[in-house]
Amino acid sequence: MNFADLFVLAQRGLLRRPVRTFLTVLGIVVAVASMVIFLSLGEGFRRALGAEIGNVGPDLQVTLAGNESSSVFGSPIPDVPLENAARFEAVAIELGIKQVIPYILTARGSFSGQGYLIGGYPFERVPLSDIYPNLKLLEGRLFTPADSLENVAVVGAAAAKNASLKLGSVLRLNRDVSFKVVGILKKGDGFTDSFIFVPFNALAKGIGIANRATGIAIKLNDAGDARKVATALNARFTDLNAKTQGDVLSILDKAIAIGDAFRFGISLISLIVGGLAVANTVMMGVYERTREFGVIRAIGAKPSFVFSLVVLESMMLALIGGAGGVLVGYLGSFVVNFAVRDLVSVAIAAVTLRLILLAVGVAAVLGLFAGLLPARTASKLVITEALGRN
Amino acid sequence: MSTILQANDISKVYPSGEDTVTALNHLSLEFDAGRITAIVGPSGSGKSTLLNLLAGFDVPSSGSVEHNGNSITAMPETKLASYRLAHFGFIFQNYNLISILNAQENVELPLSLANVPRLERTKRAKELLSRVGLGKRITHRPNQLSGGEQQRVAIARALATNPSVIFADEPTGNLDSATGSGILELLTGRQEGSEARTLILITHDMEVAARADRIVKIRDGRLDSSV
Repeated sequence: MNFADLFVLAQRGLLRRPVRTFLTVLGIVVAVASMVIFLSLGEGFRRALGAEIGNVGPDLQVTLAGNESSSVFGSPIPDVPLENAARFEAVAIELGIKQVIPYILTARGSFSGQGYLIGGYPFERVPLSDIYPNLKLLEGRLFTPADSLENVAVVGAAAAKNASLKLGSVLRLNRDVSFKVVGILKKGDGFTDSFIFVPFNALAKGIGIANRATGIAIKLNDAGDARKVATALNARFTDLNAKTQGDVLSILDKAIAIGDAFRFGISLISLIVGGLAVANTVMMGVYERTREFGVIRAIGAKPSFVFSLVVLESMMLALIGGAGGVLVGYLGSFVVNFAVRDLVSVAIAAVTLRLILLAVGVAAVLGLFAGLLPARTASKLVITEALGRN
Repeated sequence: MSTILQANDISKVYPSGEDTVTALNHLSLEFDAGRITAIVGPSGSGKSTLLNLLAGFDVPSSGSVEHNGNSITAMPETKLASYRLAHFGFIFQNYNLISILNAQENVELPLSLANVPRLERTKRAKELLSRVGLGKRITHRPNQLSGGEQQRVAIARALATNPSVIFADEPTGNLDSATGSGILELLTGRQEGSEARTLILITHDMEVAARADRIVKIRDGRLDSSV
C-alpha cells in the first residue's frame, strides 16, 4: 500500500472518534504552545541582545578579573579603578586601540515595572553617536564637551515613558542630585530605549563614586583584531578581564541557554502528559479496532503494515497538535510582549524558525514514541483471536 | 482434477489450564481445484480450527498444509501474509467489513495492499460490486447497508485479487433464508466463461452443504466422512 492510501486509512481511523481525537489534539496544542511560549522568551532575549551588542560601538569590554559572573557589563557596583584607562592608553598605539571609554552603568527599577538604566559616559571625549551609532535624536540636543560636569541627561524613548520624563523635566537621582533632560531619543528596538545617558563625571559625583567605573569599553582601529587585542590585554593586565563582543554574546547565550533548559524542563512535564494522552487515544483505538486489524491481517496485510498505520495515526495526532501549538504559541508570544511592553523595551518573546522546527520536531518524536507501544500491540495481534475465533 | 490444497496429518492442540484440548486430531484432506467443498460438523467439532489452519491464520501443532505444493505452514509470517493476499479470499459470518471505508474502498483494500494502481483497482472494485448487484451503492458505508448487502460487499472483496481459493465461514449464518439463498447463488453459481474457483465452505446447515460438490464431515477433530 502506498503512503497516500495509508494516510487516508490513518485519517479515517482518527476521525472515527472525532471528539476524542479533538481533545487529544487539544492536549498536544496546549503542551506545545506552552513550550513555544516558554522558549520564545529565550529566543527574544537572544535576538535582542545579539542585535544590541552588535550595535554597540566598543569592540572590547574590560572589567575586573574574577567578577565575570556578576554581569557581562561589569559589577553592579563600579569597581574598576579609572587609572586602568591610562594603562590602556599607554599601550594604545602598540595594540591598535582607538578609544578608551570608561563607563558607569546603574539600574533603577521599581515594582511597578517603571525601570530604566542610567549610563554615564565621558561624552566630553567621545560623542554618544560614536558609542551607539544607531541612536537618533527625537527632540532637544545631545551632549557637548561643555556638559562634562553638568547634570544633564539624554533619555531613551522607553525610559522617558517609564520615568514620565519630557524635555526640560528633572530626573531626581537621590536627595541631593538631579539631572535635567536636554534630549529625548527616537524609539528604537533595543535595550538602549531604556537608557538614560548622563556625563560620566556628573554621575560619578552624583552617586559618590571616585576614580571608579563599572567597566571600560575599548574601540579598536581594526575591529577584526578584537580577539588578538583581548588576548594581549589579558596577558599583560592579569587583574583585568577583556572580553570581545563575541565573548559577551557567548556569556549571554550561555545564561539564556541555562534559562532555556530550565523552561524546557518545565514544558517537558506538559509534553509528557500530552504524549501519554496520544498513547492512550491510539491504544484505545487499537483495542476498539482489534477485529478490523484482524481482518486486515487476514486478507493479507503484513504486521509491519499495521505497525506503520498505528504509528502514523499517532504521529498525525501529535503533528496536528504540534502545528496548532506553534500557532497558539506564536499568538501567545504577542500577548507576552504586549503584557510586558512597559517592563522592557524589547520584544522579549520571539518565535523563530529554529523554535518552530524544534516544536514540530518534539511533537513528531512525541507522536513516534507514543505510538510505538500501541503499534507493537496491534502488529502482534493473533489473527484468530482478533477475529473472535477460538 | 488436480489437488490445489491439502492438509497432511494435521493436529491442533490447545492448552487448557494444566490439560490440553485436541481440536484437530491427525486429519488429512485434499481439495481439488475448481470444486466447492462444504465442511460440516456439530459445534466444537473442529471445523473452524480446520479453516484457520487451511487459510494460514494459525499453524498446526503437527502436520502441514500445502497450497499448490507450497507449504504454508513453514512460511514466515510476512511471506504468508503476501501469500494469503495473492492466493486466498475470505468471507466471514459477520461480514467483517472495515467500518471506516465505504463499499468500494472495502473491495479496493486487498488491491491496495497488493499495490495495484488506483485507476485499475477502482475499475475492478466497481466491476465486482456491479456483479454482486451493488453497483449503485458503492459509496455506502457498512452501517448503511443491510446484512445481505454487506455480505455481497465481502464477496466482492474476497474476489478482488482473483484468488485461487476462497474460504467462507458460515457465510449465510447471520442472514434470513431468502437473503442467504441469494448469497449462496452468488458464491456457488458458476458464471459462463469464468474460471472455476475453489470454494471451501464451513456450515452447519445441510441445505447449504447440499449445494457443494463434496461434503466433508468432521467430528471430534477427526474426519468422519467425505462424500
